[in-house]
Amino acid sequence: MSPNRATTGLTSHAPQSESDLLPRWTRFAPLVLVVLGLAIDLPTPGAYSGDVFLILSSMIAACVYSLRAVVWVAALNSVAGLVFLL
Amino acid sequence: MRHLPSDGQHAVVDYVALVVLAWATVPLCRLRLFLRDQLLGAQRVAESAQRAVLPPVRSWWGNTWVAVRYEAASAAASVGGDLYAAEHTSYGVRLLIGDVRGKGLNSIPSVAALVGSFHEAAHHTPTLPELARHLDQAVTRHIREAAAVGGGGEGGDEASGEHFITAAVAQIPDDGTEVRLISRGHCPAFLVSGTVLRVWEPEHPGMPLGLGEFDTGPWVDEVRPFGPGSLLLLCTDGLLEARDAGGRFYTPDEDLLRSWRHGPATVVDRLAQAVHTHTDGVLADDLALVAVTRAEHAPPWGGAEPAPP
Repeated sequence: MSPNRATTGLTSHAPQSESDLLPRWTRFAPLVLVVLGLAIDLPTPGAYSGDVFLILSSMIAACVYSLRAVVWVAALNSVAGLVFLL
Repeated sequence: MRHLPSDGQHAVVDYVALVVLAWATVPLCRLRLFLRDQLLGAQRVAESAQRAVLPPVRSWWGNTWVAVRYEAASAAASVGGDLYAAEHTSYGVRLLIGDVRGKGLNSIPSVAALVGSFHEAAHHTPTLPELARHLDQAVTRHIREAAAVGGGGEGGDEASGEHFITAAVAQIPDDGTEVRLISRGHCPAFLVSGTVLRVWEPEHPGMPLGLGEFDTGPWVDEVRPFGPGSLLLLCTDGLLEARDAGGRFYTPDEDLLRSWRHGPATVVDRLAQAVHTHTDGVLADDLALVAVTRAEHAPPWGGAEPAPP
């Protein structure tokens, strides 16, 4: 507490922002998972599927991103899934 | 990558499932954001309500410097069963600290009743014993009213007649060199001057507020010298009964002697930090600290407004 403060009293329990509460790596996790899915699926035709990484990517995005960013991740995953299909 | 057309049917089903799941996260995200906004709104309302119960205290009144620190035992609330208040009156700066029997959210109505009564009565009662009697009557009225409407909380203390508030009121006249204190069953205060720390145990601690009608002893205040540079610390048992994992009580003497020259703000911050360290962050009881000192001079900005950065 600064001695120059005009008032003294209750310490604020105002909630922190979500980004302060979450580990920093969660911000990059969705995009990293998309890249991981592509890296696993593309070199291994028919053996392994990267779908699970894409789904996980969308789920994490829904927990940490804004609505607009979640829509972008869903669109990105739809395109990535199409790449896997073809 | 799948090979069409051999497993093409499965691949299409997989893709459709992927797309459905990917887009299903959009409404889930909307739900999360909606609930977050609801929670933030509720927390803002709670914060305002808690500040209405224990409003901020001015740091400076002339050359009297006050600092307050409050730590509720409940992590979800800012206010618990301890209380503080300060008023600048024609009799000087008057400070109240108290501890409602029990702790937690059930104590808040009693806190509000006593603090509200203090803010009003502090201006109209010339002596501390009269002020203490007034507060006692206010608490008694509140207890009776709460019992009548069944507001005894989970423990039902008001209804069972086991409700009371320990409190201490201090008065520091604007132009004097003394401090007056009356205690109603409250824990001791600390007075630091020079290199000497004195524990101020009132000779007549009296019965707590709400039990005044049973008190047959005298209602008297005590006077001690309080020159410029002296520091008075009022606390609750959240400080004196803080225990570590081994059950050892915290003693504030050392931290107080080490920090008091830096002023009340540093004292309350350091003591609160020390209690957190001693208890490993687990407060068993609410903690309220009020430190006050008299400076040689009022701050250059007059004390009414914050200093320029």
